[in-house]
Amino acid sequence: MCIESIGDKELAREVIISNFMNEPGVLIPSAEEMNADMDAFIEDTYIRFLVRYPTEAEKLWLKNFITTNPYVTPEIVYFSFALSNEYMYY
Amino acid sequence: MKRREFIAKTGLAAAAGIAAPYILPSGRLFAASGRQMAGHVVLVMFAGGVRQQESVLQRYLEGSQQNDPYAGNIMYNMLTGSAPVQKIVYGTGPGGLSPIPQLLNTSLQQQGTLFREVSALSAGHFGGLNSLVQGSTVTTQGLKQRPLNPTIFEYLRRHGGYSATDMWFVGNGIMNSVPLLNYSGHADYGASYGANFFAPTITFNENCQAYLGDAKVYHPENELAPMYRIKEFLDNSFEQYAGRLDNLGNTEAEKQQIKAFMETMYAKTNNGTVAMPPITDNGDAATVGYACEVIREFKPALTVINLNAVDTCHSDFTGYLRNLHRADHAVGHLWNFIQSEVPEMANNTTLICTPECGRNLEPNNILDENDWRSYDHSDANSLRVFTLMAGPNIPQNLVVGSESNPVGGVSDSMMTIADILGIRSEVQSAGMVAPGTTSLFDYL
Repeated sequence: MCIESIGDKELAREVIISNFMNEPGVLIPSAEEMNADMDAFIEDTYIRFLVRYPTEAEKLWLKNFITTNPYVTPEIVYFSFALSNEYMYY
Repeated sequence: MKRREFIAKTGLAAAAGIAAPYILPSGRLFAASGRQMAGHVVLVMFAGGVRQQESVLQRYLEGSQQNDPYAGNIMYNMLTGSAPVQKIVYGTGPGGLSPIPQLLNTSLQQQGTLFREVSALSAGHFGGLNSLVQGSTVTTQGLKQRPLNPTIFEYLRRHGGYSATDMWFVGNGIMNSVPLLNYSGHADYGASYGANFFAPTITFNENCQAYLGDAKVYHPENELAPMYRIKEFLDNSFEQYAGRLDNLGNTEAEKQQIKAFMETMYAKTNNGTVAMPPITDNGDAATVGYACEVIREFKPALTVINLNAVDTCHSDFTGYLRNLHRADHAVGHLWNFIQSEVPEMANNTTLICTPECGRNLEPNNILDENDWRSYDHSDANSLRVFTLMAGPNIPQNLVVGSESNPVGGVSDSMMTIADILGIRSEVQSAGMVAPGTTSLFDYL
């Protein structure tokens, strides 16, 4: 209902997800856990949100992006996946 | 950089972009070949099936309810005429005995032009609403389906170069097909030229506030930018085998502005400071209150507001009269608000009010609390409506047409908007409006 009441669905989803992120008890891996085993973090994230394994190309791109962007936290990665069209599609 | 600073800076950047020539998606340099008669238009889709008899003809109970031959005007902000003096039920308080005081010193009819007898294209709500936003009806148009032909929002964005937040559709709710009217399914137009939409009495109610009202604020550059970059990467992968989901094309700055607006609205809703009409005891009045806030924030080129509370007339004639009186009150408030609270739009805004359809001449058999008969909408009387316009370049105190001489159609409202905002020739060239559709200025 809330999503239907907003014309820009992407924006609506963004607001809803960011609202969830403010909830106490949100389970997100820590940055240390992510950095300790980046491959496992990426694979787990794909399985968790998109119910599939990443391709090697996808894994490589995301790994490079995370390691070269100091502000990318597990929360930002989770946010992106939750907002992706593929996640919405399924 | 703080978020508000970010918005301000991106706003400046956008303004600089507008100042420089650019090629529109239509392939034209600059927008709007036609003259622009006003900078802003507000279209009120008024208001859920309104009979000529209780509106323009000012008959109140006369003729509709056998034992109560009392006439009078219950829309005195919009129309010129004296209010009923007997059997008052449409006001506030117990029994609705106290009419809502008039807000406008001069009725909109005196401030502008009234087309007294206009032909609707459909006797139903969705067909009627579609004809107002598309300028046509399409026989294959289904319910719960986006308009088949482009809406005025899409014409304006594609041919006039307007941004997404220049176009707003404010709906009375999400029932039926209302949330689908902000863009069509037409292959050459569609979502990327659509309008932003809120059904504010839903978006900002208590339930949605639980899901939307406590959004975490992310840093636009450090956090949101990489987040969007990862999303873009994921969407590109997905596009290869499943395509893209509809996107209105709000820029990042526009998104930030909408999010900030939502935050403000939750705060204003909670502390009761939304710009509501003095009497806000139904959904239409609340919808107009939020529409005023949208107008104040975004100063849209086009705002379309859908009201429909008078649809209670199917089973409650008394409720219909009350809601019609409130719809008029809300329109009066809207006009006052634009003139007094939004300096950028005052004296530079055209207001157009047109019912999407009328109602039957003969009642059904449902009696209400006053033993008054109710009215559906399916006969020839349902195709009789009016259009009221006020604003720059619109003759004052002019009445066009009469019961015996209908002038204009509901689809003309859409072409009139195109005319006012300077894209009439582009809309006509597209060739997708109902035959005979023209700008109401052609009749003046």
